Amino acid sequence: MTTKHERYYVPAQSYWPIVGAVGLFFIAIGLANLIHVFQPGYDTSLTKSILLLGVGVSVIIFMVSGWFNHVIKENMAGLYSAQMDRSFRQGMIWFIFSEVMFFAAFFGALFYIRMFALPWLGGEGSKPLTLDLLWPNFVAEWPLLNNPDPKYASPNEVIPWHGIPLLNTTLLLTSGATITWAHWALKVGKRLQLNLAMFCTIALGLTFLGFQIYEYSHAYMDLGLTLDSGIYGSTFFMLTGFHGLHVTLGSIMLIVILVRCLRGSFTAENHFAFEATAWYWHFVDVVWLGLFIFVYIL
Amino acid sequence: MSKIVILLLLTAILIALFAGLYFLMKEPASSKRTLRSLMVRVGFTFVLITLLLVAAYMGWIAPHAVGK
Repeated sequence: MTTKHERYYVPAQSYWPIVGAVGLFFIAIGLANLIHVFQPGYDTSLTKSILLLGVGVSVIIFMVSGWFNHVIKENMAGLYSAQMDRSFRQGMIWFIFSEVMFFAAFFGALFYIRMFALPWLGGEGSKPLTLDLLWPNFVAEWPLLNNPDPKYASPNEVIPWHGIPLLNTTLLLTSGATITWAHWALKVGKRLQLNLAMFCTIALGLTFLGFQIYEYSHAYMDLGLTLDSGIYGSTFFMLTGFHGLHVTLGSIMLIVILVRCLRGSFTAENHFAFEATAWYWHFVDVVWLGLFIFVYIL
Repeated sequence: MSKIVILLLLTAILIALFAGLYFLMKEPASSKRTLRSLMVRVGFTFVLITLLLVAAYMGWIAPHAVGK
C-alpha cells in the first residue's frame, strides 16, 4: 500500500537576511552618530550621520520589498501548500511573540522607574537613607523635570497630551477603523472599497509619522526634552521612537498589500498576507494606546 | 475609579486583539472571526478614548502634563 504525501516546497537559499543585517548595521551606526552630533566633545558630522542612516533605511526598504516580492512570486506560482500555510502562521506567531516581549520590556522599564526607582530615590518606604545620602534635595515626581544629578540637564517642559499626541491617537484610531473597513470589504468582495480603505489607512499612518517627526523636533529644539535629559526623556524617546519604527514598518507592509490589492491578488478564501498585516497594524495601534495612556496621560 | 475603568477597557482591548490573533492562526481563511474580534477591538478603543477625554474634561483624572 502506498501513502500519498503532500508536496512541500523548500525554497532556495535566500540572501535577504544578510541584506537586512547590513541595513540594520547602517541604521545603528547612523543613529549612534546622529545622537552624538549635538553632544559637546564629539566631532560628528550631521550630514554623514543622516547619510549613513539614509543608506540603512534604504537598504531595509529594498530588503523588505525584495523579500516580499520573492515570497509573492512563489505564492502566485502555486508553489505553496497547506503545510507552507501553517509555516507562515508559525512565523507570524513567533514574530508577534518577539514584538510583545520587546514592548513588555520597555513598558516594564517605565513602570519600574515610576513605581519603584523614583519613589526610592525620593526616600519613600524603607529608603529614607537613600534620599539623605545621595541627593537630599531630590523631589520624586513624574514627569521628572528635576534630575537628581545636576550634571544632566533636565527638560524645561514635557509634551502635553492634548496637542499632537491626542491628534496622533485620533489618526491611529481612525486608521484602525479604515483597515477594518478594508478587511470587511475584502471578505465580501468589494474591491473598490478595499482599495480606498487601504489607501486611507496608509495616508493616516504616514500623517501620524509626519506629526511624530514634528513633535520630536519641537521637543529637541524648544523644550529641551532629549534622549539624554534624564529618565523621562530616555523612556519617552525609547518607547515612542520604537513605536514610530513599527508604524514605519507597518506602513511599508500596508503599501505592499495595497499594491497586491490593486493587482487583485487576494480573494475571500486566500488572503493570509492581508490579514496578518491588518492584525499587525491593529497591534501597533494598541501599543500606541498604551503609550498615550502611560506616557502622556497617567 | 476612572483609572480602574481605563485599565479594564485596556484589558478588554488586549483580549479582543489577541483573540483575533488566535483566530488568524487557527481558523480557515474564509472565517470571519478574526475580523469580528478586530471590530470589537476598534469599538472598545473608541469607547476608551472617549472616556479618557470625558474623564480629563470632568477632572476625574489629572493628566500629568496639563498646564506645564
